Amino acid sequence: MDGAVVRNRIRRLRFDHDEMTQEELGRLAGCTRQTIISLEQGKYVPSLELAFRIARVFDTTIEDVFEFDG
Amino acid sequence: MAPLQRRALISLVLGLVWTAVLVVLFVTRGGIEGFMNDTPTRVLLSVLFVALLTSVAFLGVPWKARSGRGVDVDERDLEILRRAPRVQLTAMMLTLAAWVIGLTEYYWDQGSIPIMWPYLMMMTTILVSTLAQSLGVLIGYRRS
Repeated sequence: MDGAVVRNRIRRLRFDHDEMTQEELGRLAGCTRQTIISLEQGKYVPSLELAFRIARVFDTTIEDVFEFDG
Repeated sequence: MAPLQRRALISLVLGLVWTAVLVVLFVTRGGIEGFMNDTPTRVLLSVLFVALLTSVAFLGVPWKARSGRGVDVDERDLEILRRAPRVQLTAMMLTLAAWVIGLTEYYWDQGSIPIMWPYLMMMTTILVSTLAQSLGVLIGYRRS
């Protein structure tokens, strides 16, 4: 599993959704702004549940938000 | 800064300052001899020790986190909190090892150690454990 990375397009998707703030995304997805920051920086990989909730906020699929680069 | 991170930082700073006060009082009031023979000194240090633990626990990382589920504390915070005991355990083991090796070597010739040392061992181990939990949380935030 070494070297496997989960990338995401959260920053891009926020921008595409009327420049949604990190605070707002956190509120809608049920997590803190700091977690959104950490996700966007690629420091934190969310649970499946949070990943689904974020995808739901953007009204898209989980594969459209997250990409497994293993 | 996440709410849990802020609380951990406050707990750590408060704990370190209070610990420094305890050490200064211990040293200026005669060290182990004062602690053994002077009841007011022992009571004062014990009361300050309990007050420190109570205040850090009140600010405390786990209690607040568990009461604040929702946007205030999320899965990342809880994961960091779950990993903090690794730092806590390491710090406690090192503290105990330092105490045991230090006291054993120092009192080797006497064949026994003064009765008050185990009491201080307990106090410092609990203190280190409390501070190390806050440190573990802060390290967790730095890494994720």
